Order: sequence, then C-alpha cells, then structure tokens
Amino acid sequence: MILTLIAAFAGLLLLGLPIAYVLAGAGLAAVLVQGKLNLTIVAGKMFEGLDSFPLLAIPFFMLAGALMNEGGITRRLVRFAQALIGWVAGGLAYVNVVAAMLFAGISGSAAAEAAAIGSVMIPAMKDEGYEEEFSAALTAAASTMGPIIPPSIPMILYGIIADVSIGALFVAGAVPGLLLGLGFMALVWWYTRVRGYPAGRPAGARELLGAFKDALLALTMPGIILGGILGGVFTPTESSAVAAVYAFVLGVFIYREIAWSRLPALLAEAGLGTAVVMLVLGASELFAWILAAERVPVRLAEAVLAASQSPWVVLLLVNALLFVLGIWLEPAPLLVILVPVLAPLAARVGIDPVHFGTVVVINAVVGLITPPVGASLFVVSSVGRVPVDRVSRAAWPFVAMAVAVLLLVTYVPPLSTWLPGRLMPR
Amino acid sequence: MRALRRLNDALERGALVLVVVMMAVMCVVTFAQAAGRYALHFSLVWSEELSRFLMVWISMLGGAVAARRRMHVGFDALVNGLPAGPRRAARAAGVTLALATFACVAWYGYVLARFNMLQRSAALEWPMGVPYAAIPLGAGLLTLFLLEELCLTLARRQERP
Repeated sequence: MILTLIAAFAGLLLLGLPIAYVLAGAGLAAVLVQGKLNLTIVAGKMFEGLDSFPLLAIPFFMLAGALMNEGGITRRLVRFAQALIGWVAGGLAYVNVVAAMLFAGISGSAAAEAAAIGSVMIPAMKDEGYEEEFSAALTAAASTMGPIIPPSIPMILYGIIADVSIGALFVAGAVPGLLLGLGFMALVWWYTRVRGYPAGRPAGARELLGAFKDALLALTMPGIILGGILGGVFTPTESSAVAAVYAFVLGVFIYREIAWSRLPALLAEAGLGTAVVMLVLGASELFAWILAAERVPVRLAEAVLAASQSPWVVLLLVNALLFVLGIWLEPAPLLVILVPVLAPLAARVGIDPVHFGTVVVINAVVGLITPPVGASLFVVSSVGRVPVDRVSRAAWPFVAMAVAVLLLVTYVPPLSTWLPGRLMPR
Repeated sequence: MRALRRLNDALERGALVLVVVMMAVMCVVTFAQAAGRYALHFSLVWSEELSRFLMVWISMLGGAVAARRRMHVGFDALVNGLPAGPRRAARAAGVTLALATFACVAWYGYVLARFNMLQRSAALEWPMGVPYAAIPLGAGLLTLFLLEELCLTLARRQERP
C-alpha cells in the first residue's frame, strides 16, 4: 500500500498535476491496490479533512488581507515606513522591508503580501534607479515575514496537525520574523554600500507624525489579534473573524476606500484563495491517514533514532529534508504530508513542540523564495514584470540570509520559546 | 464541446455566487459568536457547526472554480521542458487520471452523503447528508471542468500535428 502511494504520488507529480490532484489520486490508487477498504473512504476522509473549526481562520485571514489591501492599508503602511526610514541611503529598499514587516502583522500569507507590497514598491524602486531584479527579489524575500510574524496561515496548519497551541506558535514567530527583517536590512545595507543606492527625501517631524496617525488604525490590528488571543478574549479562529470585521469597518466606514459593490469580488477572492489551500488539505487527509496506518512515522522515527538520539542531529536532518522538499512543494502540502511524520520524531528526542513548529514553518516558508520554483518569486515576477529567471538569480543572497536565520532559530531555542513562555499560560 | 463550455461557464458562475454568499454568512456568524460571548455572555450553540459546514462547501465549490481558473499549482517544470508532442500526451494523461480520481470521489461521495441523510448533526440537527453533499457536488463540478480541459488538450493536438 505504501509503495503504491509513493509511486503514484511521484508519477502524478511528475505529470505536472496540481498538488491537490496528486494527493487525491495517490490516496485513491493506494486504496484500490489494497483492495479491502470500503471505497467511500476517499470521500469520507476528504470531508474529515475539511470539517475543522480551527481551519476557519484561513478564510478570515485571507479576507482581512484582501480588505486591508483594497482599503488603502498597504499605501498607508508604505507611507509610514517611508517617513520613518526613507531618508537614509538605500531608503526605498529599507522601506520595502519595513512595510513588509508591518504588513506581516496583518497578513498571514506570503503570496498576498508579495502581491500587495510588490505592486507598490517594485515600480517605485525602479523609478529611483534600483535594478528591477533586486527590487523584485527583495520584495519576495521580505514577503516571507508574512507567515512568520503573526498571524500566520502555516502556523495555524502546524498547530492543527501537530496539536500544538496556535496562540503559542503565533507568539513564537514574532522574534524570528523580526530577525529575518533585520537580516534582509543588513543585506540592503551591504548592497547600498557596494552599489550606491540613493537616499530619499528626509521627512520632517510633522510629516512623520501625520503618516503615523494615518497608519495608526492599521498598526493596531496585530495588537488586537495577539492581545485578544493572549488575553483569552477569543480563540485564534475567532481572532481571524475579528480581524476581518475590523478590516471591513476600517475600509468601508473609516477610510471609506472600499465601495459596497466591491465586497462580492473581495469575498470571492478570499473564498477562492481559501479553497486552493483547503482542497490540498482535504485531499491530503487520506494520504496522511495511509501513512499513519502503515506506521511510517514510527518506522521513520526508529530508523533515525537508531542513527542518532541527539536533538541537534535530528533538527539538522529535518531541516535538510524540509529544505530540499520545500524547493518543490508549497508550505501547505509540505506541512500536511510531513508534520504527522516528523512531529512524533521530534517529541521522542525531547524537542519543545513550539520550537520545532517554528523551525518547520520557517523552513517551509523559505521554500517560497528558493529558486527555481518558489511561489513568491513567481508572484513578484508577474507583479513587477521581471523575468522569473533574473529574479531567481537575484534571490540567492536573500535565501542564504533566510537560511542563516533559520539555523539561528534552530540552534538557539529561546528565540522562539522565550516569548510564548513569558506570555502564555502553560 | 461548445455545449460543455457553456454549461461549465454557467456552473462556474453559479458556484462562485454560492461561495460569496457562504463566505459572508460564515464571517457574520463567527463574529457574532465571538462578540456575543464576550459582550453579551450568550453563545450560539449552532454557530460553530454552521461555520464548519459552510467551510466544507466553500472549499469544494471554490476548489472546483479555482481549478477552472487554473489557480491550483503543481510542479510542471518537467512537463514544460518536454517537446510539444510528448508534452501534450503527458498533459492529457495527467488530466485523464485526475478526472478519473474526482469522478470516483464524486460517486463515493454521493453514496456517503445518501447514507448520511439518516444521521442528524449535533447542534443544528440537520441531516449530515447536507454537509456531506458538498463532496460529490464539488468533485462532480471538478470532473466536468477537467473533462473540458481534456477536450481542450486533445483538440490542440489535432490542430498542430
């Protein structure tokens, strides 16, 4: 059964089918070959995979992102970042990273963030004389903060699959997300020295204050989400609905930039974005169930533990595996296939579940900017109209920096565990 | 072929309207649940269940619509690297297998949904066949869309031998 599953998975994947079809087809093939199971399981498992309350956070965070972008939030965040740091040498590049960092506190998805920030920043950077491939690669890299700085769709998935507190995972991502931002800014500093990128116009105190006021309501959003979860006011799922309603009120009634007639289009955008992720989850349920029924997690754990009992070695192996697979697979399928296999292994060698979850999610997200196939690279390539192979070449230094941060977070556990330990009741 | 395309156009539009309406209802219900519990200390027992069922429907119908709009991503670098003939053959084979898979999911989903009409959900006391019906309908829609894609792939092969 397991051989059929893996052979069918590889075969269908190589035929270029979407991952959701590949997972469903491989599961069905394995059930057919095994021959004893009732075939209604192919529909039943799909239903079970979709019928989950915590997953509701996905459509709501997607909707919040769509509303925020439509409601002029992106522009306000960029303006604030510009007033804050746009006046130094390489100003616009720093603005890109800072705006992405602020946006990450609202958005839980890298693709949405790359599209939103990229559509504003890539043309602006080109106009000021930055190379287009550098502008696009920087935007793609900075977008990886979206799903690491809370809220985060991959963190929600990890929490559901591995049964870890989503609130704790959200908080755990804060410091690593900021480290990523600082790392990218360090690269910007270096590029600015070498290539002499221009400084922007200095903003006066009044302009800074004005931009801050204008962005203030958007900047409080992460506070509402995290404060609500940490204060026990609402669950992470409910916080996502609150975020969507907040974005709606802000965009429609306060900033008045969203017309009522635009709402169906925004709901459709969020609904389809959700369905793309969910179909993968629904299709993977049977796949993961077969892996578990064939005791793959246990067998893998035994094989690895026979070689080494050290958490550091296990983490290194897991990171290497995820990095290689992450080049080809998006975070959602990567997590649903591998987390049920890897999380028990990590628990066996005593790795903190929140620490492990943070490492796995960061690694999965780095896959979004690893050439040759990274979803964020494709997004910035189309938004910025830069050929994807040139973006890919320019992306390597950023990938290296992201991997450096990943290793730091892997081998310095307090970076992810200290903050949740302080803030979350255990 | 043209009839199939017209039918699919209509189905896609209908499914998208349902997705939009369901998204709106789901958002209002979940927010009301959080706000109600916090501000008014009452709780809607059925809101969680309704939201979950809507989510299943949104996922299946939206998943089919997204398929027609080619929003599902796969790893197609290898297939794209093939010469034109084998490339079309590989695509046609892949789509055929996907079509068979989802036709199968639709059929057994139908069996399962009918079987579950007798069972009632915990809070709303609806027949469980109602949420389960999303699987055969969504997968059936996807099957029709894949059939159209297969026809297109094959037609293109005939145009350029």
